[in-house]
Amino acid sequence: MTSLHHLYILVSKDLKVEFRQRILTATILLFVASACFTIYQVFFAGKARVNPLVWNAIFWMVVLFSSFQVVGKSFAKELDKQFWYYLFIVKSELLIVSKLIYHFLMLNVTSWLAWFFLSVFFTNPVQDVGLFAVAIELACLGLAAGLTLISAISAKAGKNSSLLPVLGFPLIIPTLLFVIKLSVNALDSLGWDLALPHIATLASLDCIMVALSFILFPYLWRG
Amino acid sequence: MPPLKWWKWITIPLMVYVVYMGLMGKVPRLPILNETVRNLYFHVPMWFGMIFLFGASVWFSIQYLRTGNIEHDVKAASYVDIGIVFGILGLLTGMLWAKFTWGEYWSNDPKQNASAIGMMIYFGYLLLRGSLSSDRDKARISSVYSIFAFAILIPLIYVLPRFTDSLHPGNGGNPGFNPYDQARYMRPVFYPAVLGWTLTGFWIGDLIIRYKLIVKNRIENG
Repeated sequence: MTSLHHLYILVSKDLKVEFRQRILTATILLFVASACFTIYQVFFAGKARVNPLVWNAIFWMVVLFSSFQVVGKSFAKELDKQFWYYLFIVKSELLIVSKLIYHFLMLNVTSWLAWFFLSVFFTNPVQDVGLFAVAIELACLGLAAGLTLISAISAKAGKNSSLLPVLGFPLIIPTLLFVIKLSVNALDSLGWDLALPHIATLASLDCIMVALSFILFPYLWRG
Repeated sequence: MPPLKWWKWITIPLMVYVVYMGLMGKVPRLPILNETVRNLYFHVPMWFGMIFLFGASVWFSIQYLRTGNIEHDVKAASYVDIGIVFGILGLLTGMLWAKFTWGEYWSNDPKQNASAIGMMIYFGYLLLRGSLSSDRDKARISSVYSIFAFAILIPLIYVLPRFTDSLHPGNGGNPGFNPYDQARYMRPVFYPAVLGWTLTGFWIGDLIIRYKLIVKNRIENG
């Protein structure tokens, strides 16, 4: 139980820091809002029609780019001596799991917000809300799992801030491709039977990434 | 000079046989494909070779994390170097083949896309190694990245195409051609080609490793 307790403390610490320095959360929220509005303006000025499939692509692009905002900062904050202190008092596996949960929660905020804003500016083409929600949750888990370890790696590699997207983009494409297939099902309300193989594949891909982060992080951080 | 290892003695006749039979051997006359079917002996083995080389690299990355022996890391990095060369050659031969048979250099085929993503992943690996200065950091951090990336690459190459229609033979009900059924006499060249090219890749990798170790020793001993 001590591990779970430690995990709870670590995650709530991150959330508290986030809440006290409201400027960080506010930045991310404004990022999502202004990204959605900019896209709306671009489409409006170009007189482009937005059909559900285009809406879907825009939505996942906003989620993807805001996920780099969410994930990018968190390990840079921890690189100081404070993090070494944690290593002495908790298992290093717990650190990555706590970061993963924290990223998952923050990504949930950004993606539901992106859904809201895009529905306000454009329309809401989602017919099967439940299935789309499942797609969002699996995508948040996949993005968190894929990018958390990469952000730790790029934090370790130093000040090069574009290393995270460069390493992250190709690794996140498989998750995105399955998510898009799943969410297209949700848009057209094709039903759960057709979506089930995609859900299963996506969930197992997420599991692989979470498990590997858990196994590999101690090697990365202890050296 | 040390004597050649036994598997290198196998590689030489295999490659002579493959290149000769690849250019001069009998191939089936098929519509659209025509003589490009010979690319089977050169394009497809590049992919086999690349996957085996990246697999070897991941194996040595795991060994490095387990033992901390820097020699394992030199091996892992060298196999990535030659794996990338195989990947690029595979892409180029594939694009050329695609232009003649499917009509476009880039046909948005899932396997083509997956291999482009694979190349991006391993260019990222080189970039990551380049941005670290200490040998130990370089070895440890790039090993972690390489294992993580390979585990994501495998479902990308082997699972995703099964959900999508592919222009490649044997996917998505695409009749195309099936070299295994249509031309039994292509098989005796194709299998040696896969083995021969893979062994060639490991041979070049072996040379890179020996070169890197010599440079490393020279630097360490002044």
